Amino acid sequence: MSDKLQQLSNCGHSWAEERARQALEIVQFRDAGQLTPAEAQELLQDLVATDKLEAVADNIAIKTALVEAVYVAAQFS
Amino acid sequence: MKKMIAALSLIALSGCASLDTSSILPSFWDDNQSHSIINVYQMAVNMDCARPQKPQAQAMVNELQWFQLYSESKGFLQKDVLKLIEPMQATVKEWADKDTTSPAYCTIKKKIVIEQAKTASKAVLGRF
Repeated sequence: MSDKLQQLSNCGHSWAEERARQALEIVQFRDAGQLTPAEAQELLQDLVATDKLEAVADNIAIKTALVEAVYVAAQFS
Repeated sequence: MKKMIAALSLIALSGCASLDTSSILPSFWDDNQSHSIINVYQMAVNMDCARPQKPQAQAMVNELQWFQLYSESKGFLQKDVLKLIEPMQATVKEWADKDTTSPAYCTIKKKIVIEQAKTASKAVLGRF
């Protein structure tokens, strides 16, 4: 798994690289005994939760932009 | 009249005049929600791993609960921001439930919560 994360940390997509680096850091801390396996699993799940939050945030931003665009268009109609 | 045109256009653009307008319309700017989410962000930034973590994490849990209760009381259009904070609520609750943590746990958890709070803040404060 660490090899895969290493590859992803240099995949050329900044969002994926950052997430892979974060996951790799967690795995490395676990392997070094600075995190328990349960803590590492929780933190990795937190990274997944972060992506879910970002997806909802993007949705809100898109809908807000749509409302603004329609409102502006209505002002000039 | 113009506002009605805007609202009707929005419904038409969605492709379906669904009764569940929460799936079409975003929630709108709210001073109290904005204040609350920034409180959470500030708590995350100020989290001190050298001090007891449990009460600090619990403070974030409490503030997010305030946000949730306020948003639920406000009405059906708030579904988007309620969904927004769900992941963060789970993240900080796990932290608040812990009596002890490993040395690296707080450092990494803090980074994650700051990232979540920053994203949530931008979404809440960026509304029309």
